[in-house]
Amino acid sequence: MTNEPEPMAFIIEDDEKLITIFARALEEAGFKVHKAMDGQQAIQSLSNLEPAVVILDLHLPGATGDKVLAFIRSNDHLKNTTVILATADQIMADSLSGQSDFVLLKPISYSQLRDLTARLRQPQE
Amino acid sequence: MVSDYYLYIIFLVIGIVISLYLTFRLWKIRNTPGTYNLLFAIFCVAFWSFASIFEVALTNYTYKLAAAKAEYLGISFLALSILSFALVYTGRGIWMTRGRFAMLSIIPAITFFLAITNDWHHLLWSYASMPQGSLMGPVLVEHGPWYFINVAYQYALLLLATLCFIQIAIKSHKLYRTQAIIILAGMAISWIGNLLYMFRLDPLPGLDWTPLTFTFSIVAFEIGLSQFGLMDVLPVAQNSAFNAMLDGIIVADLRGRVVEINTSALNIFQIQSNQIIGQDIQELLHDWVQWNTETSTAFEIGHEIVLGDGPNKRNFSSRIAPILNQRGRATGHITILTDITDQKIAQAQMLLQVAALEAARNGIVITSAKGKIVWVNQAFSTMTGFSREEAIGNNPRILKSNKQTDEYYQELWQTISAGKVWRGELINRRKDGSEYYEEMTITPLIEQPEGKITNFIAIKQNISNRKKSEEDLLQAHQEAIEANRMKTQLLANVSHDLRTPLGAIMGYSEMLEKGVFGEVNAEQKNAASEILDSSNQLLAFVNNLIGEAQIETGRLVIRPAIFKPAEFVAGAQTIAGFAIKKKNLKFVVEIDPDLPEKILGDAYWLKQILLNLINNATKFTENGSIKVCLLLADQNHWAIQVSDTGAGIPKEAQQMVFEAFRQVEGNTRGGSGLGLSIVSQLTTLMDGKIELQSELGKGSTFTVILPLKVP
Repeated sequence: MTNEPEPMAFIIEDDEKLITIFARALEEAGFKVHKAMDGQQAIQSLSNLEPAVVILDLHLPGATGDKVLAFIRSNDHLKNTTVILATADQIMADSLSGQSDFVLLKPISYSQLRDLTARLRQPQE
Repeated sequence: MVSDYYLYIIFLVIGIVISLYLTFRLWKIRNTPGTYNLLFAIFCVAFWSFASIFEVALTNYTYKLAAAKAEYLGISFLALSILSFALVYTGRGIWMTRGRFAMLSIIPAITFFLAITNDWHHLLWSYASMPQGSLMGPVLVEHGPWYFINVAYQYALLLLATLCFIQIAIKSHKLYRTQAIIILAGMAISWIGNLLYMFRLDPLPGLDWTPLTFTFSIVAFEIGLSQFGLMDVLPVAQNSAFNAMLDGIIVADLRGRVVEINTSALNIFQIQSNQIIGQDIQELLHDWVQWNTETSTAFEIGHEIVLGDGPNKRNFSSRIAPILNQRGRATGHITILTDITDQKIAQAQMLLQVAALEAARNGIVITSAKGKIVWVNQAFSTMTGFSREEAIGNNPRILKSNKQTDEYYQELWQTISAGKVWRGELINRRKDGSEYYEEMTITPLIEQPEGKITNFIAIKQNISNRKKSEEDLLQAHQEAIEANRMKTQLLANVSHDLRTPLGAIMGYSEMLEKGVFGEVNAEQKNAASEILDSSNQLLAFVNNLIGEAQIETGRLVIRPAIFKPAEFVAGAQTIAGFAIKKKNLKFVVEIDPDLPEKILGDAYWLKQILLNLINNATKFTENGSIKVCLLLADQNHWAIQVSDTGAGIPKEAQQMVFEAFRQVEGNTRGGSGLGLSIVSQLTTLMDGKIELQSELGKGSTFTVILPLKVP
């Protein structure tokens, strides 16, 4: 397990404090963490990245989360990416739940995110 | 002597010529009642005269006698014909039925029969011979018994006819009386002629002048029947009409004496004709003298007369006019009284209705079929500023504001022109230019049976105030919707803004508690747990608020998804666990082994139900335990059951606990009172039901029973 390259998690979130918590949980779960605080910036990064997991906030500057999600779903190289919506907007989350893999309503428990993402790594081992 | 016969013949010929002339004249007015009877009489006289000529002129005795016998066809029926004329003329024509006429014809028929058969029985003439000393001249006769029967009969009939004429002469008004007197004079001529013959006082002995005198009678009758302008109609018919008239008619002479009064007038004054005829008309009409002087040549409207009291009160209008003779001189006055009581009542009623229309708050406009205003009420003037005088004669277009399209007016006009009622609202313009909303109903008045529209009636109501309140209401409604939308938006924003920092608080406190940032001592760990627990409570409250708002606005949608009941309970336990642990309560979870591992449901709101129930139980339980059971209630239902060993809820409060923001009286434990209300509302949204069993001091058990759906 230590020899294998760590899978990448991409956190797209405009709140620094939450990024810190999410990043800590994902690192605990064994992911290498990339971050973006702006939707447009996230889309640019995703052109080159191939993250295993994307933690996606919906209310973002630059481009909103649904645009980022649409970008992920329309790009072939991201077809294996697991998208976890992390939002406080339940209504919007509901409308996008079909395109995402998981929906976590904020506030998101540190342990909850850690346990969920850790479980996601399981089949790859 | 012979020259006398020629003179006699000449007179008879003249009589026949006159008869022919009368026949010609009468034929032209043959529609006048009595004409045919008179023509019958003329025939009788003419035939008599004609036969008499032969009787006198012929020299052969046989022929002379035959002519004398033939005369009896005229003689026998003459009196009957005059009587029948007299009866019709005096209004008794109805009496002369065919049957009676036949009965009365029996004796004339026998007389004529006996005349032509006299040679066998000599009942009419006991003896007859040639005239003496001349071949010309009448047959000499000695009268037999039947002759006198016949004469008596003829006189009886003539007497009856005369009596009829005398009666009408007395009863008639002056003007008609002249006519009656002429007829009576005619009758008198024939009486004289007859009497002369009867008593042998003739200027020429043996010559019967009666046919000639009867000719003159008939001339008089004809004059009576046709001569006077008014007399084209029989006076009798006039008399009947006079009495049949509903109007009361009183004829007075120049001195004001009542000469004639008809039945209606007698009824009006409740009087007998013999009580008033000849009396001063002022006994009936007290101001008559005054009217009289006012009277010109034409009919004048006189005073209104009121007779009787109370329910018997009647009103009469009077008209008075002089009666003029042919020279244009007044011979009297005729007064006509018309009962106008019903008219007055109708008029009063109409005035009342007009007053009602005037008092109406709705504007009322009556227009002609062409749309010209013929009447408006007071409310119309108040509403529009146009006085009645200004409105009448104008078209309602004076109110047009041009706020409606031409098509709108066209539709209106088409509807009412088709005879249908039009209803609608319009903006109209007052006289001062200001505008107002009006609701209008236009009803065409249709005259039957032609179906022609005669008028339009428009009822108008100023609805500006109503319109304004409607607009205000609509605006208020829109504002309310907008406010509601903003409230929901605000809640969404608040919820988002609360959840985001809560995420940081909860995340960091959890990490602290879990020692992610390094070892923490027991006190630090406890502090972190307190922060976490308070955050969870805050989060639960925020979620309840959002839930309540969404339910209230109908925006909360239950979205079923697959979930595992075991995981769902564990999640709730994690959140609620700290408070339970702090109170040293026992927390028991039981999952019915029969419950399917995965079921369909909205895990988010189900968790909210469970959390609220656990929070409620924790809040009211100081000792003992809290037990969470997931049960398979029956084949189609599963249940979330939360029991506690707390204070319990009094029976009377058990229903109340599910109402929002309510708490059982005496509750000192705080809380929003929202938790159980949300549970109840969510349960209903999920087509479930909630049951509560509770005993004071022993604890409560809430059971939420939900339809079981398995993926």
